[in-house]
Amino acid sequence: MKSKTPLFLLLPALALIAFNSIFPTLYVLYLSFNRYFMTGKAIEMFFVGLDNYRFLFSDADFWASLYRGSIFSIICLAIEVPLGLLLAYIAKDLPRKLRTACTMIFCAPLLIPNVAVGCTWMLYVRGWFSLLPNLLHRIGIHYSLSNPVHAWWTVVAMDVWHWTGFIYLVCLAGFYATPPEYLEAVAIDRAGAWGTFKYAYWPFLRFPLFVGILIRFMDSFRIYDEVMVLTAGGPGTTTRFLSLYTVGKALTEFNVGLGSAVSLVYLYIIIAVCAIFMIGLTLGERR
Amino acid sequence: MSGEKVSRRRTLEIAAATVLGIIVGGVAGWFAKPREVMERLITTTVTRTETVGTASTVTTTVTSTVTKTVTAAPTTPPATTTTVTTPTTPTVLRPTKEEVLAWYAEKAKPWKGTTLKTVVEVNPPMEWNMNNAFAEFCEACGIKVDIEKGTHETVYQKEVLDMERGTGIYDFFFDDQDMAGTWAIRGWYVPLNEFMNDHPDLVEPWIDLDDVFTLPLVSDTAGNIIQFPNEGVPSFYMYRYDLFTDPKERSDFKSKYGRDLVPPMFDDEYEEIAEFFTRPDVPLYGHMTFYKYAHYVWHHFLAVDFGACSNGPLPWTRPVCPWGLGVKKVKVGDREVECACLAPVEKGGMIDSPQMVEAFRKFHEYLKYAPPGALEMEWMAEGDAWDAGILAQAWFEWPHLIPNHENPDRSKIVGKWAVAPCPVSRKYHKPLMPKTYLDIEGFLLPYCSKQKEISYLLMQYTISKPTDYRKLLDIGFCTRSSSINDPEVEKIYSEKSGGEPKTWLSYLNYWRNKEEMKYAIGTDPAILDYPTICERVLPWCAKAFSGELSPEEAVKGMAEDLDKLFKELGYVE
Repeated sequence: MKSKTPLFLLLPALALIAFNSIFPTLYVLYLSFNRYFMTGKAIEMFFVGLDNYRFLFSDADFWASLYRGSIFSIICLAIEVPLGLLLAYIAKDLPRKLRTACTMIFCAPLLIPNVAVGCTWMLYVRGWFSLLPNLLHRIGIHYSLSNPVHAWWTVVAMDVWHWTGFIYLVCLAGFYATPPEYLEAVAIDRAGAWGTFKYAYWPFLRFPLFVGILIRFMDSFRIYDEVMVLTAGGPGTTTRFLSLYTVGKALTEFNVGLGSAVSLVYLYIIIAVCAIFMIGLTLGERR
Repeated sequence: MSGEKVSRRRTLEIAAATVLGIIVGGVAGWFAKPREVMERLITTTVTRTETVGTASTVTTTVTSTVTKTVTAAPTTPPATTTTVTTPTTPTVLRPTKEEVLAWYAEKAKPWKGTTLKTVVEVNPPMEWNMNNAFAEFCEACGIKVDIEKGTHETVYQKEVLDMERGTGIYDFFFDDQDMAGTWAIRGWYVPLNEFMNDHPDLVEPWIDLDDVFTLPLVSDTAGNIIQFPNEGVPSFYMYRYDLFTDPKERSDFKSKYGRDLVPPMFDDEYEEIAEFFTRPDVPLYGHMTFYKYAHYVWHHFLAVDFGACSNGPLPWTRPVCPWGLGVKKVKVGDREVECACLAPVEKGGMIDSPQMVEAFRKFHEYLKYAPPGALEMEWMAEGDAWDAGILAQAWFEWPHLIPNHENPDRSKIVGKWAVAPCPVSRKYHKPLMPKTYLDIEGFLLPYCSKQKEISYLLMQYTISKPTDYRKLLDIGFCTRSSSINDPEVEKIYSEKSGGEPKTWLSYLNYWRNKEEMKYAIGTDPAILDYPTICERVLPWCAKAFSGELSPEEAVKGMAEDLDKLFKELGYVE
C-alpha cells in the first residue's frame, strides 16, 4: 500500500499556493466576465459574459502591444543567449580569480532592482545631459530617445545589459556540470573545439540552457518596470508592450473587468508557450 | 536527464480537456445576459453661492437639484431634503502662527500620540507642507504623520483602491482637483462643509472660507467642498528675461521678423521666437513641454489654447468643457447630473474638430525646436532643462518648480526668467474662451478614513492664514485672497526680483492680473472619470506628437475611442 505521508507533508505548501495563486486566479477569472469601472458611475459590477474578451480581441492596441512584446522577447533572447553562452565558454577556461572577477562584472546588473535599472538607463540615454547621446554625437551619430528606432533598440540594450548575466551563470553551471571523463574522452578522440562542445558539453548544458531560455522568455515577455521608467511606452506607442497595456487598463483606466481579461489572456499565452517548450524539450529527451 | 517521460496520450488528454472547457465556458458566456445595474441615490436640494475669479469680481447664485450617487458608505442613511451651505465667517485679520498653533494644540489633545497615514505626490509645494506645516502641527499637537511618497499616477491608484474597497489605510489624501468630479460621482469623500457643520468645535475661528478664492473649483456641482485647496496657482508662459532684454538679441530679432522681441500672444509669434532661439550648438532651444505623458499636454492647455472648447459666458465654457468634451445631463437613476461625455463633433464635442487637429499638428512640428529627447521628458525633466539654461521659452509651465529655478545650487537661470500669459491660437481662439489652467491641489478626507477629526485639523491648518501667507512668501503658492493681495508680498517679491519685472515679481503681477485670471480654469467637475479618460487618450496623443499618426487620424481615433468609452460607461447611447 502506498504511503500517504508525502501528501500530508505537502498539504501546507499546497494550501499556501492555492491561497496565493489559485484562488486569486479564479477571482480574476470571475471579474473578467463582469463590467466594472472602479471610478465610474455604476457602483456595482454586472455580468457581461464574454464582452470583455470580445472587446479585447477586437482592440487593435491589444494586438499591436502583443506583437511588440513578442518581437521584443525574440530579439532579446536572440542576443542574450548566444552572448551569455559565448561569455561563459570563454570564462570557463580563465584562471579562477579572473573568472570570478568576470562573473561579478557580468552578474552585477542582476542584483539591481528593475526600477533602478530603468532610472540608471534614463541617466545614460535621456536628454542633452546624458552620456550616450553626447558620446555618439561626437562620432556623428545623432542619437535621441525620441526617435522610435533608437528608443526600441535602447530598451533591447537595457534588457540585454540587465539579464545576459543570468544566461551566463546558467551556461557556466552547465559547463562545469560536464564530468571530466567526457572531456578526456573527446580529447583522446582529438575532437576540436566544436566537437568538444557538441559531444562533451552540450548534453549537460542543454537542459539548464533551455530552462534559462524559458525563464528569460517569461521575464522579457512580462517586462514592465524598466520600460515604464525609461520610456513609458513611448515615443508614441513604440515601446508599449502588453504589460503596459494591461496595467493601463486595470490600474490607470480602472477598468477592472477588461484588465482581468487581459491578465488572463496574458497568463495563458505564457503558459501555452512554456507548455509547448517543455513538451518539446521532454519529447526530445525521450527520443 | 532523469524524470518522467511525457506520454503523448496524456498530453492529448490535457489538451482535449482544455479545449472542451473553453467551448463550454464560451457557450455559457455567449448566452449570458447582463443584469440591471443597481444604484443607490441620495437626493439633495442645494443652494450655492459661487465666487468667480481670484478676487470676487463676479458673484452668481445658483440653485440646483442634483443627485449624488453614494457607494460604500452604508452608515449614511439617505437624506430627503438637505440644504447645503458653505459656512462663512466674517473676514478677520491674519492671526499669528503661534496663536493658531496654540488653538490647534488645545483642540488636538484627545488625539495626542496618534499617527496619521497619507500618500502624496512629491513636488516643491508638498515638500514645503511636509517640512513646515506638517512639522509645526505635529510638534504642537503631539502627533505623527507617516507619509508615503509617490508619482501622480501611483497616488491616484492608491487612493482609488483604498476608497473603492473602503479599507481606510490612509487617513487623508493630497491630490489634484482634476479628480473632483470622479470623487463626487462616487461619493467617496467627506464633504468638508458637512463635516464643519457637524463639528463646529473643530472649525478654526479664523478659517474665513470666503477668503479662499479657489473654493468653487474644489466643490462639486451641489456645492459640497471636496478638498481644502492648498494652492491655486495659474500656469503661464515662461521665457528667458535676460535673452529677451539683451540688446543684440532684440536687434537681431527685429531685423529678422520685423517686430519687437516680446512674449508672444499667438501661436505664430511663439513659433518665430522658437525658431530664432533654437541654436543646438550653444545649446539653446526655443520650445519645450512635458511630452512624455502626452495626455496631460492635451487636457491641461492644448485643447483650451487652440479653442477646442466653446466660448460662452463665464465661469464655464459650456456646453463644451475645456477638455473639448461636450457636457450634457446624464441619468443616474431618476436624477440627472452633468457629465462631459460628448467626444465627436457630430455629437456636440470638439475632440475631432479642426481646432484639435491644429493643436496636435503644431505641437508635433514644434519638436524641431525642442531639445533632443523631448518626447521622453516629463515635467520634472522639463524643469531640469530650464535649470540647465538651455531653454528660451515654453508655451505652458507650472509654477511648482519656481523654487528650483531660483535655487543657486542647481539652477543657471536664477534671476533670469519671467512669466506672461500663455499664447493662444490666432486662428481658433476667440474672446471669452478660457486660456489658463489653474492648478489646484488640496487635501481630501476620504469617507473610509479612520481618524477623521485629527486629519481634518491637520488639513485645516495647512490653509490657515499664517501658513498660507508664509507659503506664498517662501515658494510662491497660496490659496487666499488676503495672501496674494497683501502689499507686503509685493514689496518682498520686488526685492527678490531686484526691482525688475522678472522672476517672482512678474509671477505676482501675472497672478494679480484680474483680466487674465478671469480666464483661468481648472478641470471641469463634469469630468466624472478623469483617470479612465486620460488612459484612453494617452496612446492617441502620444502617436500624434511622435508622428506615428497624422493629426487627423489621431483626433479621429481619439474621438471614436472616447465615444466607445462613454458608451461603456453608460453616459451615451
